[in-house]
Amino acid sequence: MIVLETKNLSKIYGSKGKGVSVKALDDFNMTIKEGEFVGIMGPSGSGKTTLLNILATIDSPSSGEVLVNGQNPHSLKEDKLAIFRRTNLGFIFQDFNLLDTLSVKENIILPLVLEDSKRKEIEKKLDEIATVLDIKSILNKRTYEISGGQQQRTACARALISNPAIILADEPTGNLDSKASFDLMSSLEKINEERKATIVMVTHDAFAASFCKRIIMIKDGKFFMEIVKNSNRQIFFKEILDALSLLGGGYNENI
Amino acid sequence: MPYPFLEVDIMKISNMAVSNVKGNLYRYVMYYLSNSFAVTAFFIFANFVFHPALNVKSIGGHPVALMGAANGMIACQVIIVIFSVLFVGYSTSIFLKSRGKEFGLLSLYGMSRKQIKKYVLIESTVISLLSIATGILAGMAFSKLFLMAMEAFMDISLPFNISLKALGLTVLVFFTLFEVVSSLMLFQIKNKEIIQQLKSSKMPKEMPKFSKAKSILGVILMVIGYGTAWIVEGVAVPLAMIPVILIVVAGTYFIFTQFSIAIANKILKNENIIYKKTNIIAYSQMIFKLQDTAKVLFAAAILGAITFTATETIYSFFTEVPRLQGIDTPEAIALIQSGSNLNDNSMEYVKEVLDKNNVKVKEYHKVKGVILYDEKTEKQEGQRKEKYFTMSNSDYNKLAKSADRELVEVKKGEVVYNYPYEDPYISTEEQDNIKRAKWDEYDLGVGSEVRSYKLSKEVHGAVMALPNMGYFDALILNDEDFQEVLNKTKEEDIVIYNGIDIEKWQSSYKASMEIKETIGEKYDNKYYSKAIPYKEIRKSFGMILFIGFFIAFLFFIASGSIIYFKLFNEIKQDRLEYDILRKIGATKKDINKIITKQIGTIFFLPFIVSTLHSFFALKSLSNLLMRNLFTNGLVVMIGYLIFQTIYFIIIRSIYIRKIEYN
Repeated sequence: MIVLETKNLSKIYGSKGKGVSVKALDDFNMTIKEGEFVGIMGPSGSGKTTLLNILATIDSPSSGEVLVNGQNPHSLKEDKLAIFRRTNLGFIFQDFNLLDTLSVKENIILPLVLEDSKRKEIEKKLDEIATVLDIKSILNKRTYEISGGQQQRTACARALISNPAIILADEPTGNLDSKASFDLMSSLEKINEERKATIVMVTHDAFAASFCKRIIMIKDGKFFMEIVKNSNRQIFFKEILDALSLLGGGYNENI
Repeated sequence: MPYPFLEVDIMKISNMAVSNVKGNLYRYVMYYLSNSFAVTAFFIFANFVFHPALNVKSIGGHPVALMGAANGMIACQVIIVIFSVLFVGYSTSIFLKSRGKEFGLLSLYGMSRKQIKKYVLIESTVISLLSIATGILAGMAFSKLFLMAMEAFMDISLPFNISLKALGLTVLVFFTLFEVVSSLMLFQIKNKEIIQQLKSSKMPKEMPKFSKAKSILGVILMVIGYGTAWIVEGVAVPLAMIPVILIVVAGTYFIFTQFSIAIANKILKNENIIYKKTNIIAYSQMIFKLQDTAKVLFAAAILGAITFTATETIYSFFTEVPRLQGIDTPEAIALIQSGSNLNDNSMEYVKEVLDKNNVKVKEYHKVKGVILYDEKTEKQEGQRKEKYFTMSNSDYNKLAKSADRELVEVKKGEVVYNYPYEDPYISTEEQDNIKRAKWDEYDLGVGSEVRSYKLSKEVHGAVMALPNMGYFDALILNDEDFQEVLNKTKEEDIVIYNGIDIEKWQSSYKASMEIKETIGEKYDNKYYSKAIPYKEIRKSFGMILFIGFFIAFLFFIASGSIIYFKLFNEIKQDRLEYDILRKIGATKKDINKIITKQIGTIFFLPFIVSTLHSFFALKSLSNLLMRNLFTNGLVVMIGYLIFQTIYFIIIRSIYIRKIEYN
């Protein structure tokens, strides 16, 4: 079943008539099925963050459309859109975006409380998700008392708790050290496999990307190539690096 | 030039300061506007005080009120200076604190502390000059309005005038003030590590702590303060005032810094409340907001309490003045006919004039009285004979009935003594217990003989406007006795008292003055209309009332503004949080609800505390004046509540717009 689909998606930044405009996305098409774990990669300025923002409905396309479970969220009014985000999308951000006025537990259950779910149900889901992500012991701590890796797993739990159709992750390992990155990516992999969660992740980190099942490369706002994981992660990692060197941009110097 | 580099240096820094102000105009606007506001208020008032048409003589009215007004104006100007110092000081400190990161960056780029100070000083000088100019211009514009309001209140002519003295004073006071305040505030930047300054807005917030003991202490102090204010009566009120104020202020401090956080903490632990939609955000942020703003809320509450109490006091005095001044007679207009005026037709003139001025007569009493002399006085003390206004039992009862006072019954050979005053500082019951009558038996000269009447009773309170026309005591005789006395009295001792009660006596000043002129000099001291002294008292007290309101208004704005500064100072951080909420799918409605709850609490919490404070202060005033002033308090409170709500709605919508703007 197709969960997410983009059709001829374009985004042009800059004012019309002034001559200076940037095409961040150019006729971009992509299809994501239920239970997939897709990585989106590309050099900086390739449009991957723009793509994720449009998928996240916090930015709107200049032309083309996004379909989530067959519905176009960009046609919704502001408040309906917020509710759409709440029920269909889960977010993981590079800088965690946790509220430091809330405890870890409160941060995680926030989407459910906003939905006015029943307390029992909230507790049950919290218990489930905290077990999977191994954060049960820190539930009553405050955000500044836990490590970056724990903060990101908390954000992960928040994204997952309302069982969204898709989880969107924007450079989730960007602020983490390698150990924490590994833990987080393993968790995401586990969630994808055990709970059949659909995950779309934007990253420039080949190591993080190697946990995905499929990688879509973009360049200059256009689809560039796609690689699919066929064997184990180590081999996939090498394939990704090869693809990145093909992609050019900043990646060549890094290798 | 010995130090050419210094010149260049100054040039650069001043350029930078000017361009920084220019570039960040948006950020500076609030600071600039609040300073301009202080200048405007100061200038308007100074311009009024220095008005050439305004010297003490021209105001007229009651001498005590006059003296009060003259001293009051100076006191008010001083209060406005204090207000300006507090207001400017606070806004400057908030302004500089909010720029910690900027100063940190400047240090990081290698600017020396001295240079930063110079830069800030130049910058604040630019802003202060702009503020002074704007404030004075706005002040000139609003002076006309202020003078017009004063004209209406004081009933004198105040043509538009700009006083150069006021102008000079305003420039001098504020330039000094701004420079001194910013120099002082500069000490705040000095001893901080660069890293602390850079991170100043990013420090993670720890869960607010509170002390149980201090919260309880706060409540206990409030109870003691309120209790004392409630119980203490009479002369003890002024004595208890200072300690009560100190106790309540201390209590308020703990209420805001400890008790409010304790309560918020309690709420946070109650999952039934917290797990309800937006409550989870609203209340968990609330406890941090309360901690951050506790001191500001405390200051706002105290400022508010001063404002409300001052307004209520002034308003109460205003409503109580006629009574306190003894002008509040049962009948609005009274006329005494005696001697050569006894049978003239002046009453017809009076009615004619009232008719002409559309003054409706509610009641008219004509009472024939006799002046009788106390024969005991002469015999015992050798002094001049005391005289009494004597009237019949049925006349008295007629008057007492319409004045809503106790009726009496006088038997033959007896007399009832009427003491026509009320001491405003003693309660009615107490007054009734004081014996006022001079004798137990009155020996009165009737015709050529002396008659004795036994005192059967004394009644207190006026049923007619006698004391205002030179008769200090009244005696009531049995109707038959009175008729006999009347028959035996020579015409020169007969007095006809005409009491007229009219509708809307407050607006009968014109008619009253016209009557005075019509009936002429022969009625000096024999004609009384309470509209005349009322008008005069209003003139001088009206000014005090208006100035009081003006200052109350300033403090009201100040207490609202410091909350505003605090709120908008942290808007950046708040915006980040609301952004997160929006991303995870909180609707606009949800976010607005959270904002309303939070700003509402921060706005109305000090308001409620101020109201409570002022009600207890008013209770003390009531105890002092022996009057129930609760209604006055309610009127003032409702007035402020309306203003506060409007203020809240405006601030809330600005805040929401700022949060959305991204």
